[in-house]
Amino acid sequence: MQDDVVLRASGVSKRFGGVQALDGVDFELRQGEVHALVGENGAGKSTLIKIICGVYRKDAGTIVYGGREVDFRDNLQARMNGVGIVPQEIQLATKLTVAENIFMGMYPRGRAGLVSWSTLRERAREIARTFGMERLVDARVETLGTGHRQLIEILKALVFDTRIIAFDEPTAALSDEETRELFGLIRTLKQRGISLIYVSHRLDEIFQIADRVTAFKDGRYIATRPIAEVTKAQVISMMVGRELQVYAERGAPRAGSEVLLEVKNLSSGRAVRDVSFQLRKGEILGFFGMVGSGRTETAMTLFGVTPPTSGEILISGRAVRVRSPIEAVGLRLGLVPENRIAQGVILNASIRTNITLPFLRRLARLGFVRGAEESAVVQRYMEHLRIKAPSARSRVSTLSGGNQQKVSIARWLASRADIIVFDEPTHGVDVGAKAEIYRLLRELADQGKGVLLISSELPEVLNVCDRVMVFRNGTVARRFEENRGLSEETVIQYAIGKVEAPIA
Amino acid sequence: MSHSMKGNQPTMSEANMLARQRVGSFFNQARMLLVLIFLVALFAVLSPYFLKITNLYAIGLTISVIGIVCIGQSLILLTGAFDLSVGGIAGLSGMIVAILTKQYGNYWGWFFLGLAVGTGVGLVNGLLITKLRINALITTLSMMTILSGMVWLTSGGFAIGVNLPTFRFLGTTRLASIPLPIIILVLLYAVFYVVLRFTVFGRYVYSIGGNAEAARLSGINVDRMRILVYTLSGLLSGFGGIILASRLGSAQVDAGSQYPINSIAACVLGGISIAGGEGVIWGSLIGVAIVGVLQSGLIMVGMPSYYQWIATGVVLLAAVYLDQLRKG
Repeated sequence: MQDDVVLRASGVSKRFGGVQALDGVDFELRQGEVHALVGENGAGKSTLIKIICGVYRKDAGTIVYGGREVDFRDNLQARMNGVGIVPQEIQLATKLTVAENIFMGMYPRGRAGLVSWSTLRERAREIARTFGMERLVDARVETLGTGHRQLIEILKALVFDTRIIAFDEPTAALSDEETRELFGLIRTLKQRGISLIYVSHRLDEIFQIADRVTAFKDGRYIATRPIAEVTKAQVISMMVGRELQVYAERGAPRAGSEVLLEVKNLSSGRAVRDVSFQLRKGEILGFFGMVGSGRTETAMTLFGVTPPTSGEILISGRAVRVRSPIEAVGLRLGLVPENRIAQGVILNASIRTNITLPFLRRLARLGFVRGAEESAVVQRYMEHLRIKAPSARSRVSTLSGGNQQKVSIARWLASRADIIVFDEPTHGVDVGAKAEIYRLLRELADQGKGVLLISSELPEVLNVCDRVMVFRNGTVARRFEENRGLSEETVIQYAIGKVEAPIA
Repeated sequence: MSHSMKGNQPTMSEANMLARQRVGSFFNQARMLLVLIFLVALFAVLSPYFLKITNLYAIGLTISVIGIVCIGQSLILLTGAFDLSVGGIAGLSGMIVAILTKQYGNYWGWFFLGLAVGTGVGLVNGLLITKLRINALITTLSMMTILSGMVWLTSGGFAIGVNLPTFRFLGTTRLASIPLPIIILVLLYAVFYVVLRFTVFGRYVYSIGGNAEAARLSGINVDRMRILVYTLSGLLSGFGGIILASRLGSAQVDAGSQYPINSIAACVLGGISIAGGEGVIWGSLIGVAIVGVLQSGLIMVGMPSYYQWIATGVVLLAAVYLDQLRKG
């Protein structure tokens, strides 16, 4: 075996209740490499890195790190031994400063055992210097954006003499611009000889940043390959065990069809300024832009969440007022929100309850839900969307991310909404579910619905949408009436403006 | 492989998980029933009088009022909020009915006025919480002290006794020897069981408690639902307060003062989640019964009545702790 291996896991197993999350997996990490860990939801990627970083304890197997066998008691012990993790859900105390967060749990003590704030700030500044973050160490976390918060998690991992950092879906909440900054950072870490484990669903990123890739499936080890020797299709088939076409075929654009939704000079405070567009029957219109560019805000205004301050909304040529989601749903609008857990699904309710929520009244007589009718509708859409669950009564919390998202989508299909807004529908879902969601979007369009896709993933926008609108600073920066031969560079240029802003 | 997104066939582990979940939720309700049966058996052994039908009726009468209050509290807990004004509403409704009946007779007219007062206070709670966006805990806490002040004001600080037979009807009538309040209690639970389980209203209650934001984005009028549950809670609390005054033959100044805490405790004992969205209404009845049996039983075995409070608190802590253990 090569001596530059810093960590080797062999035969690692972990069980959660009745679920075998990991079943004797192997994993090897070399010094200074970026090692991508891929697999569908539930494949065991996160479980493995959490075991490596001491968040979970393994049931069986060995982990050899720095030449000796280790079994970290908790995350702090792992960090003190040079193994850090940047978790998927950023866990920072938002009311505290960056410096206080970096040293959380181990504030330097001065005389009399009191916290030495000056030492704390000084050391934080030192760590932040490498990444040009010095000026931010005294800022309160709540004043910072997602990109910066992610950086703080990385800085936290660097407090000790770190040799390994594991990233769990680090870009899930980042814009493309922030992602690029993160990659720059990862390269810096790599040059310092730090080894990185990179868990992600986004294959494009893996091909940009990783040296090797390991695939898991159903808690088992499948294979490890140098990234230069595999294609995306091969990685996907390693993950899902079969060939998979991610993007659905796009038909000819339908310019002549009826206008379902027309928005004229819509504004809402400063978040949405003078936005106009048309959505036709049978098309998928893409809203591309960075987080905070006005794309989600426009959709929220359209859906009555934030009321418009001026402008007009016409549905099928008729001027309407949408002052609340109640009215929006009444006008046959549907919204699949960005944050699935917080806004999309009711985790502790059944799939059935979640799906029929917007149109339950239609399934009721004299206030009583007609059970057989409801079951039939739910069954139909569970089959149609291939929602993988033991039964319609299963709690949504027991489903994988992809299946939860399908539940959030099924609601609007079943309610027969005419115009459906999808806000980042593929965030945090595995590649198989992603392909199904894209197929579904196209199918909806083909049925004559109007589909609005909000996304910060360019390949998604370019491969799925018929037309693309680029948002910046709360307004439409550019409109591409035909999505043919558009390059990522062209589109992104309008999203970030001519000058590249520093990460924020 | 049948594994991936193809088909709806659950994997073994998922089938296991579902089975565990079902057992879990059954266990949750059944467990508290077992606790109740255990307590009854325990006191039956310790005291020969405990299982006498007169004692059981006495327990039933004691819990009937708070049991009715608990229905409203359950509705509100299920939507993920609290109502601390239930006792104040019960006290004020009972007092108004007693004072006016004593003064003018004509009980049934004042009975409906009492219900209307309870309903109206509940409506005001709902409006303050949804329209003025005042925190629910603070709103109902303030309402509790306001109502208690109103009870003292109207009564001058004295219990108001009424000797009219109509006034005593609800609290003292027996049907086939069963006290009427117990029958009303069971009927109301049956009605709300059906409402929560089979109606659109019930589904909305659980959905709002589960995730109010998701419910709102699904087009549900969350504010209207919140107003509705507070109004219903007011109506039920007012009804409870009127029955209490009728049973005692007088409206007490401090009637209902323990209801806010006791009703929440009983609901939680019965498995209604304080986080909202989870629990079954029968559970609240079992919770109330446990508290009632405990209090009566302790008196029967000759413990000073102060021990009731301690025992109730300990049982509540134990029940919630066991629930945490189960959830892991």
